[in-house]
Amino acid sequence: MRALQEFKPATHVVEELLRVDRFIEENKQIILERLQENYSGVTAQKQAYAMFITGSLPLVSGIIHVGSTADDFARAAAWVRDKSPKADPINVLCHFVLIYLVELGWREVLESNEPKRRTMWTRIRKAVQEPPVLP
Amino acid sequence: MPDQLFVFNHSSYPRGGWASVAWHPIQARMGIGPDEVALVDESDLEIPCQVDPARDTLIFSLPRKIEPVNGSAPSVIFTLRRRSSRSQQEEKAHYKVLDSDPNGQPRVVQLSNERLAASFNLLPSPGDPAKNWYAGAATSVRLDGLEMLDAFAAALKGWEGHDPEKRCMQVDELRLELPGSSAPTYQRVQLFDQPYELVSKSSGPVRASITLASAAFDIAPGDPESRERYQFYRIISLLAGTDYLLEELLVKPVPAPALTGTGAIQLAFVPRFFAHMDLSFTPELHRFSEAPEWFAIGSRFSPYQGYGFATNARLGAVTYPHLESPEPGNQRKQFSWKTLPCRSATCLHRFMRSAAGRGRGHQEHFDVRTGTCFHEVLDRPLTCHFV
Repeated sequence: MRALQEFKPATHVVEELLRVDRFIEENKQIILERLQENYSGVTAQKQAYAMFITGSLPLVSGIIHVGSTADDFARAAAWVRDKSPKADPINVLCHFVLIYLVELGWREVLESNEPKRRTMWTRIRKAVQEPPVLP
Repeated sequence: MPDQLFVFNHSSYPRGGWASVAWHPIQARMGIGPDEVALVDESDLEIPCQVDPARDTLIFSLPRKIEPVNGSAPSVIFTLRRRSSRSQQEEKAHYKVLDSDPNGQPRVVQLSNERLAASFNLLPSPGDPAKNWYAGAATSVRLDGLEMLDAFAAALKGWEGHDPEKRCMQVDELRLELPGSSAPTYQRVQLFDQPYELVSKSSGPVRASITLASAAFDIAPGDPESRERYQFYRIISLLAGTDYLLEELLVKPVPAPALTGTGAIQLAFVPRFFAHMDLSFTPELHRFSEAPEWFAIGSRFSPYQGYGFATNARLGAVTYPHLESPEPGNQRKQFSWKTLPCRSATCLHRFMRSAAGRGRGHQEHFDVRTGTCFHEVLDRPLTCHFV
């Protein structure tokens, strides 16, 4: 996973390669709610961060497959292979999409007057910034 | 001597599962009706069992794994009894009508157990008459609550926004080998746009099943005087606790004789199955030359959904992606496959989730699970003798 640190930001994957940013924006409410539910469901358990990420992967896969196209996915996978031939493109791309989503959620509550949600999203953000936890 | 069932495990390892035995010899000797039979093990614990008179079968589920046969000795012995009039078994495999026409004729029926629920369209069009290609297809298959035919959309939006084209287990076309010809001739019968009739249904503690009959079609081997009418039959079953559906395929003359054997079958046929499932942008197809009876296909993306097909008729061509699709975006979701020519076939459709990734050969992977299921259900099923 160290090779990931050499990658361009998650925004490049989401907005220029997979091109799912508009889809995410259109479905932002349901996506962020689902991530919050996932986190709330595991927060009291051991390995909560890993469980959160594993539990969020179906949502991330859904965004990629419903919001992107086969051609864009192939281009994104080729980009991963070019950057890091030993990395699994599926894991890498899913992870970047999740980072993007969590950043989005965190920014949404940053200026809000909801300290509990701010705390939750700060913790979620910390969780996804601490790889490796991908399957 | 008590009335007993000797059960034989022909695998090389301990295994569970289910077995069946002809019902009429039991009925004849014990003088009991289908609702009166009870099966118990050596500890006098009751074993779930069910009689399906239309198929002349008593079927039961093993409560635990049994050892492989050792010589001629059975792996386990169960005892048959007359059931107490007050005791009743719990139904664990269910049949349900989900939609009917104004005359009460079922349009969509469901088979379900505690893990799997599959809904079948009997009519070509579920609503829009212009979309008349759904006949005989399972248009929803849920495994442990997850819609397997469009798992990504389901993971994202729950029950909304599914691909309206999603379906599987559809026999969209038959190729018939015509009788009485000096050289083989063939006739294609298009089925996806023809209605099915629900001939029978059952449910119970072990198995739920439906028998579907296609619209009758003419066979024309050249001589108009010898024209005959046939129907294609599908007997689809779901057993309690399993994650697969079984189906028996038959082509029979109209009117059909009782569906208890293969004596009346005259035509060889090749069914073509069709599926429209989202198994990711890059599904992995597992098919091996040394295993010509099955294939598996699945997603490496979470929720790691997969599908396996096995048949005792052997596989013909498996086509993926489906380049016939007029919609390019659908090609990656569509696949079709055929069996080799047969006069009857038993097929197995398994729905799975596996995060084993590229772990071909891993015990939990799509390929091993499908191959094991083929071995246990179709190749070396548990056998049972009434003694």
